[in-house]
Amino acid sequence: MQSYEESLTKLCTVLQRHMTADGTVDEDTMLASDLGIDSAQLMEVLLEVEDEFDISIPLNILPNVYTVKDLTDELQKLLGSAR
Amino acid sequence: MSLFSKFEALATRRKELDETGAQPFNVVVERILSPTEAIVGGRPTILAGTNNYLGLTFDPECVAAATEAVRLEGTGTTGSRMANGTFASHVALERDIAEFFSRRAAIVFSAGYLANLGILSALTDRDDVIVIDGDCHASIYDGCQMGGAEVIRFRHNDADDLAKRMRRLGDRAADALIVIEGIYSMLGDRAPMSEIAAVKREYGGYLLIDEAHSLGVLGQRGLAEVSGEHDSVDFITGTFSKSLGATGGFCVSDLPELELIRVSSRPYVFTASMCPSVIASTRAALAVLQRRPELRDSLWRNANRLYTRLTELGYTLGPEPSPVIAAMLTNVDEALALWTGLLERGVYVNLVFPPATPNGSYLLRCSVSSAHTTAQIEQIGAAFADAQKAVATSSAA
Repeated sequence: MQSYEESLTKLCTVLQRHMTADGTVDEDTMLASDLGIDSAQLMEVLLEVEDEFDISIPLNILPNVYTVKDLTDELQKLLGSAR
Repeated sequence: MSLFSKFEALATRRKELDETGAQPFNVVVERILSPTEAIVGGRPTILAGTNNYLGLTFDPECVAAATEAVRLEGTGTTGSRMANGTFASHVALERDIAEFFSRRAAIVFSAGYLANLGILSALTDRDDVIVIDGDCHASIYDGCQMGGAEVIRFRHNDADDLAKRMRRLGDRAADALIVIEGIYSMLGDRAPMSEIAAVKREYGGYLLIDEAHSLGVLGQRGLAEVSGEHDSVDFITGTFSKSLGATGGFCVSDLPELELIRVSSRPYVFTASMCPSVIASTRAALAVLQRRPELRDSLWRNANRLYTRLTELGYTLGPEPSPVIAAMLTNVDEALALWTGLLERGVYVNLVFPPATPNGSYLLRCSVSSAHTTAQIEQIGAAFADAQKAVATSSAA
């Protein structure tokens, strides 16, 4: 299983491609608001994240995911349970 | 944070909308004249956004059946079937629906929304996983949420993406519930049924299809039937409020556990049951649907004609002709101006905003009826052309 840092780097790379606002994506970036995209666009971006990590992200976890760090934590849990 | 602070953003958007003068979410039908005509804003208006696919709301047999039921059984049941008891007509409707779909049993609900809410929330819990098409209706999302199952979306109408997600589930795929729709309500496109059924055969799981917009529209029984995949489907849900011109919803299945779902389903147990007049008109409409295939023929003639006309006008539409025809727009002001222009020209369509729409688009959503005359379809097309011209002129000024 990849490390937290590896997942974070990979996630930031995907998100950076979709960032319409100025700035660089990091752990503290707020999904949606800092990326400059709406909730529907965020759902599309998540499809790409899922493919990048070869996992499915359950919708149920999203209400508690606000930042890139939150999402990385969830990805690590999902990656752990998938192995 | 006050109790109402959550509505502040909505209130702002509502105020902005009010300032444009458009009232897309407050349209009052002052007088309904027929399945396809009404008085709106004091003006005779063609209804092109009612989902009244077979035009049965004024069918003499359906009206007579409902009238007789009111006279004999009263206006309502005043409670749920668990508490107040089941009317013989509830049982008869369930028998009719089960026989119509060639299924062992049926449950009827007081609304189509409640059918999906009631089945999905009772069938699944936190130990289960549901894999749904991303464009599924809100009732499906809400039913999933209410049950508490793990919910995974697959890309709209992408069977390969579904397969990928089933593969990722490993052993859990065998008990996963896949949920799709026959015709999707916003763009009118149909699910790739054979490909999805093939994924189910490869990975296992159960398949639920919501035929709300396809019942009586695609063949008699919907997409599963016309795709030759009737036997691949474990649960069929749907509504009586569209092609059958009433209200209420249903689920049919061959699985004996359906009866256990009935008593476990809070939206079934704690809702007043369907009233006798609605049951009677639904049963009559179901008989008409089976006896008069020509209604479906005229529905599709109208759908193809309007789809072709709007395509000629340069509108971006859903991917295939269907009784649901949605013009996709990227600009809210243009969408509002066109919608208002159509209403001023005596044509009512639905205006749908994100996030209820795919791809964040603004939709002018038409639904065609078999009861529309050729002249009415041409009038709808002419209104789209005229409103488009007016908006273009005003934007250029």
